[in-house]
Amino acid sequence: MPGQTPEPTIVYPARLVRTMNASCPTAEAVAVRGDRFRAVGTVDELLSYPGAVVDDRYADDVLLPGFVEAHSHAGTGTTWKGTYIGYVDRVDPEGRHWPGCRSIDDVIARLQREERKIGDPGQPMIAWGFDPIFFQDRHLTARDLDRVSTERPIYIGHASGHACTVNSAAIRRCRVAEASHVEGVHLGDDGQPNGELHEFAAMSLVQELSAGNDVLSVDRAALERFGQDAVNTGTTTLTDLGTTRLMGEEGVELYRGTVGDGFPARLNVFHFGAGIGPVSGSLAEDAQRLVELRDLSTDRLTFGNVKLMLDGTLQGFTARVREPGYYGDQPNGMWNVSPEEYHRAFEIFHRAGLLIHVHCNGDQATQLFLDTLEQVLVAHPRPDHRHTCTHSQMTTPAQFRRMKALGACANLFANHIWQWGDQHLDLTMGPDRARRNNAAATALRHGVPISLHSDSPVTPLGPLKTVKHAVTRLTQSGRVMGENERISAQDALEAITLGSAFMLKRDDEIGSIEPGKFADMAVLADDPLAVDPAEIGDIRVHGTVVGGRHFRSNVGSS
Amino acid sequence: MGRTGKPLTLIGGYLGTGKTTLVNHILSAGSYGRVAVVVNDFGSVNVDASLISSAGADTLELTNGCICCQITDDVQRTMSALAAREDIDHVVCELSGIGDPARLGSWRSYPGFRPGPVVICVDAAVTPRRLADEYVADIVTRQIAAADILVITKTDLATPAQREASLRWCAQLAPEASVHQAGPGDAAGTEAVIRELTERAKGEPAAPPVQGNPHPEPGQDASASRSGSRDPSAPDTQHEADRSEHASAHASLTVALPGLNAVQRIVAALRDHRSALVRAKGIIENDEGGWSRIQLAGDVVTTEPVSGDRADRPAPDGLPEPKDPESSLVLIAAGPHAEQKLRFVADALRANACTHSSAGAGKATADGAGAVPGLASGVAPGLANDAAARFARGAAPRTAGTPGVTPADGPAADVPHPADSPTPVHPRHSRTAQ
Ligand SMILES: [Zn+2]
Repeated sequence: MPGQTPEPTIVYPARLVRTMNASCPTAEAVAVRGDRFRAVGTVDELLSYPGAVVDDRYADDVLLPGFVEAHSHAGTGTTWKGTYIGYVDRVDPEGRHWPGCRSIDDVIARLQREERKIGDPGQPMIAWGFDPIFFQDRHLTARDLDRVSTERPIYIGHASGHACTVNSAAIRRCRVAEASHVEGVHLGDDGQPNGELHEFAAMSLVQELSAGNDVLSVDRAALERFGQDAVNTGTTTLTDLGTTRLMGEEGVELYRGTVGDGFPARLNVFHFGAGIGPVSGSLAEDAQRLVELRDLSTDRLTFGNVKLMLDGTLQGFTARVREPGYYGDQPNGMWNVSPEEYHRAFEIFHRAGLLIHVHCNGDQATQLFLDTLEQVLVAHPRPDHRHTCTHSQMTTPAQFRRMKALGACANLFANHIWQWGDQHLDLTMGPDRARRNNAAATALRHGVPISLHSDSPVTPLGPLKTVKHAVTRLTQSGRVMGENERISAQDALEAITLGSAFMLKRDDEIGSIEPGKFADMAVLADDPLAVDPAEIGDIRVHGTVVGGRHFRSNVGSS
Repeated sequence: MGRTGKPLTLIGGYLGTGKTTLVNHILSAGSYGRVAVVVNDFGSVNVDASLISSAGADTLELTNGCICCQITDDVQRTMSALAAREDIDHVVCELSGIGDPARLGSWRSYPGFRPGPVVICVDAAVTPRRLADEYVADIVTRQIAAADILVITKTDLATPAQREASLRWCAQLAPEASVHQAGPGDAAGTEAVIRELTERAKGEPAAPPVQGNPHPEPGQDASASRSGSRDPSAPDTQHEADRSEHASAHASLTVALPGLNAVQRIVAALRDHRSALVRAKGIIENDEGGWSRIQLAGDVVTTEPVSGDRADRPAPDGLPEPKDPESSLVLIAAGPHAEQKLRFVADALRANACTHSSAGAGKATADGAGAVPGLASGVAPGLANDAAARFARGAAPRTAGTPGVTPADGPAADVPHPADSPTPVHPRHSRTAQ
């Protein structure tokens, strides 16, 4: 900048810098000027740049490009308003470690401990993450929850989102017994509601208890918690993959007012274009608004992307699968939007020049994604669109070949391998097709650009853990689900940095440590390529650098 | 419990099958009490602006007392708010194009609601193709199978073969549903549908109350995740329970047609009286020494030869065929005059049965002919003349009629027929009346 005092160039020596830039994969230091990388190299080289000074705060650490989570939800910050009782361990945005609840007794003990911390006796207790698929022979009922409190209403949301369990106090408060004939109100042997409420008619009987705790409810505090979660996991770019609030000013202002220069991560906000509730009657206007919003994007906050949701989930048997169907011949899953409406939405957003990520869990959903993409591209060619099949969990080799041919990307749900791999082997897909669940190696073999994701809060945010799952393909019980779909740690790390940056169309700015890109880094205690693959997920994350600013993890060291 | 609320009627059917046409009729007619209609999108609602007395973000109030609500992403809020309103007689909910009536159906037991019928619109042109489509065949199948009332739409866009195929599918997937045709401009067809759904919604269940069903939502995620598998038999069980609750406005009658029948005459007679029936089917002995299967569905009569011993042949659908060895047809009618309609059509059929048929045929014809003037009201062109010609073969028709009665209302046969005693029961429990 001629005529001005140049900003200083800060040289950060490190134990190791892994750049994810093939022309210079490692270095001993990185130089940052302002919010951008200036160079990598030896400390001596970097000190030759004008105004260079050394900052050795990371001298003992390993620096990687900040991780890019291409499928997560800002509602991650909302869920922590309630008590976590899920099966797997989690760390909350305050840095506290929550061990998984492995039995109903664990669940009750957790609830008892947390219930005592709630002051107001009339305030309902909300808990989240409970997944009955892990408790095949035992239902959670009001009788269990009454061990926690017979006075305070307790509401346990099931992970599927399609059921909940409440205690007697909640049954009384919401007069569930008077509505025991409502479909979905389960009755005990005594003919009285047993606390289990299935599907929305029954669940709405207790709606007043859980209002504002869903994933789509986001406020400033939730966004901030989400941002801290990013810092704690080495993530410097997040996605909010699907909000319905961008069509109103209030929603836009929430994001713009919260995700400013001081926010500890970049956030890509995707408009939820179809697959939740009725499809908008004004798709063209919506697309136009997104194009305009895109111009309001900042370095930190990106608008102008679209998420469409096709099917349900594998573990809920609601994903749309092709022949030969589910392992136990369960009926096929459900569409969240009709193929025709999906086509129309996809075409309109595509023609507006927007980037589209499509939720496809089952291979039939992937097939519809590909069929539609091909038709739309033939009618409206658009180079380098990078539309992405997100989840892409059961995608077949033939589908990956077609994905490559059509220029699409696959964002694989590698966390599923560990979280529900045993269920995929034993219940949903069976031992054969479970092998190709989230088939990263096949995708790479066919040249499909990939990333790996958590879908937080569905599974915990944590790109290093996601890498570990893709590299080991270990299930919770210790089985390897599809050994031939394991990928190298290098490939997996690329997937969660450059790979996700690519499918967000930001690989020119983020995803690797290269001169000119934003100075976004994950600060790690160890080199993921030097540890046992099974331990990659346990590497301590000290914090992040986002645009040259430093953020510290608040997770206590173990 | 749950019998005291207002009926919740579901209107479903795949995208573009004409659900909104029905909805628009219900709203603008305003003659079915205070109806609240829940739609997916106001954009598709087409009511006269002068009818709108107030418009909110998600609610339109009409001067005729009807209300139209747009469903928000918070289905629970919309539905529970409507359930709580006491100034509404009837709630009609339009499902999304991929909506599974079984899913939203659980709302029909919500406090403030009681079950109304499930109405499914079926596009005559594209339904056969959709039923072969990888992506939606199962969705469309589930929708049709859940129907109490099927409305065949877009008949003008369908080839005869497509229309026939659609009807055949309907008969196979929803053997107990009544079938209406309501092509564009067919106001009477639409009227008939609305009338039937209104009647059914009003009707108190005649079938015994359904036993408590603690697992109402077959295939729900929760049960799936609990057991790891869904019980594929569950939907049928539940469906049957649903049906028996609001099939109440139906009546059925089995007409014995012994002897060697001229099939074409039976077919013609059935065709003439199709507007009085919602369904008919059966197997009759023909005058060529064999058996013929005859069906009426959606105003179309079809026939096919039956080979071999008819007793060995399973029914192609769930509708019970007459079990006795004699040739007979099961007739199903709906609406307030269903029984009279059945008697009337039964008589007409007997009049066209084999020449050795009983003497009762002539008498029946005489009674039934009273409806001819009503049938001639122009809604079913060609019907009156044919019918008159046929009746002329029997005793002279009575000239008394009920002016202004439309075919859908059925003939106002005010003279009870002593020989027939049609029973207003669920079609599954139909019995031979003679
Ligand atoms: Zn997601």
